[in-house]
Amino acid sequence: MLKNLSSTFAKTLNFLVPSLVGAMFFFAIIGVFGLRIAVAGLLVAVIGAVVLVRRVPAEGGSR
Amino acid sequence: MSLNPATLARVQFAFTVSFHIIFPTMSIGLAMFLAVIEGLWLKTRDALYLQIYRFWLSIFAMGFGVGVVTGIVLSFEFGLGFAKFAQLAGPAIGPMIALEVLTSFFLEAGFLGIMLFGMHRVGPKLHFFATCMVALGTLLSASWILSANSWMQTPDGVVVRNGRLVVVNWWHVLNNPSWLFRLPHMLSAAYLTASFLVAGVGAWYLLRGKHLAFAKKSVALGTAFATVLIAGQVFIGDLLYGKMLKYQPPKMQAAEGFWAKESTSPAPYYWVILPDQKEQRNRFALGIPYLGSIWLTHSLHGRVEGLKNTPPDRQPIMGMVFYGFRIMYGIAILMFAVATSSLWLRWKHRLYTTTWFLRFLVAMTPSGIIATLGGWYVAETGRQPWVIFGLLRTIDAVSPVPAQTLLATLIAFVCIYTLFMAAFLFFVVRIIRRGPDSAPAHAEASGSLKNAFRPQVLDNVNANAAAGR
Repeated sequence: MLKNLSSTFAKTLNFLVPSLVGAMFFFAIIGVFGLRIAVAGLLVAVIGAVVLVRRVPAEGGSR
Repeated sequence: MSLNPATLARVQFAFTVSFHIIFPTMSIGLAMFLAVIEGLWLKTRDALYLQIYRFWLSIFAMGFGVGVVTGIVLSFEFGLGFAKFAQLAGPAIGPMIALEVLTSFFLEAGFLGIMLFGMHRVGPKLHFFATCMVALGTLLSASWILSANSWMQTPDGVVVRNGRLVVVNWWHVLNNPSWLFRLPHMLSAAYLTASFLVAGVGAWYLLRGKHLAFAKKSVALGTAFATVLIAGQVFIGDLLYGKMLKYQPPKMQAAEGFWAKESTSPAPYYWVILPDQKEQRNRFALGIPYLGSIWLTHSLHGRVEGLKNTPPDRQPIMGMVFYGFRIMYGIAILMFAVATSSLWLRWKHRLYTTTWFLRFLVAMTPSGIIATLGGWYVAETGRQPWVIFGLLRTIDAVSPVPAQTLLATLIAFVCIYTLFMAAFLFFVVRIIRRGPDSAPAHAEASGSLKNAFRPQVLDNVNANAAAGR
């Protein structure tokens, strides 16, 4: 029972975290919070993506 | 039933240009992708990059060929279907189209042969240089065409004297108010198109458990490029939105689906509408409350301008602009979701094993092409009823050609282009089903053109051809 709950919680978190972070960046980049935050959001998104892609190898076996 | 020559001329141009834009979008994106991949191969000497290069080179070559052929048709259509437009706009856009030929076409023509057939004839660095020149050629081509089209959207640097356009400032014609925003928007769209094609094909192989090394690298590269590009694209798109709101208010009023001079407060963001142009109202509208105010006015209670601010005889058809915009914007949101998900899954080391994500990537394979088409529909239908905004109405630009002639050529175009598309899809599907070849190394050449005709290099080529490689 607890294991099932934990699994559901993890799945929900896996859905919620990227959705919320993605939505926040999207709103920022389209200028909802002003141009300065849009530019900052763009820079953080691009630099963050480049750093993550370079540093974290997308490992994992294929199906 | 009598046929209207003006409508037929417009339908014909819409059909041929919609078909055409698919291919330059792919070739601009794939050319840059190929340049990056070959550069990575030169840097790392990882044979997998060469395998990816060779695989996408064939698809690029076919798309490039169809794009050139269908582009030539458009130049003729300017004269045949829209002679008055060609006559009036010629002094401004004629030189740009000529410059496209002189700069980009010459560059592409000069290096395309080396790129496609020179892998065993010239050295790796010279081959890489050729790929970069072809990529640069496609970029220059897009620049000239976008400049000409942006001038039609936001004309500048000309005056009308005795019914003729006279260029008074070339720099303003070229660097018109929307060009510097529309060019990066289109280039990003092309690069995103290529990224999703690459990632989608890789995901398809992963789901089938085929060509795994190739597939993983394709998914990794495609999603990485897409992630960086979509953030920039959304930013540029928002800047362009502001620019068009200033220079072409009717287009953006139609794109949001509001009729009243001022919307309610807070304004919803409509996703589905059933507009009635005659009665200037929506028969049905479905949207998300508050989101219109937040996205469009950047405040919780802002009001959005509607199409009634523009006199009815100067309004574009709302439905076409609205749905073109929603298709483009909806796909951009999905692309953003893919980007965020890919980063998350990369962080969790599950990028290649998450089945729902791989299926989503496969479904998104043609997303760049569809979004680009949607965007161009917004640009072109939103400019109506003008062909040159504020200067020449489309209806006044049409040639006095009989309707039967236009109908006959339209039918011919539909038949020939259907064949083109069928052949293109047939060969692309065949290449994808066959999968990547094992990547042979470049010919052992020093990098000079002299090697191209050395007997041993040609012998290698012939031997490879005989072995079916």
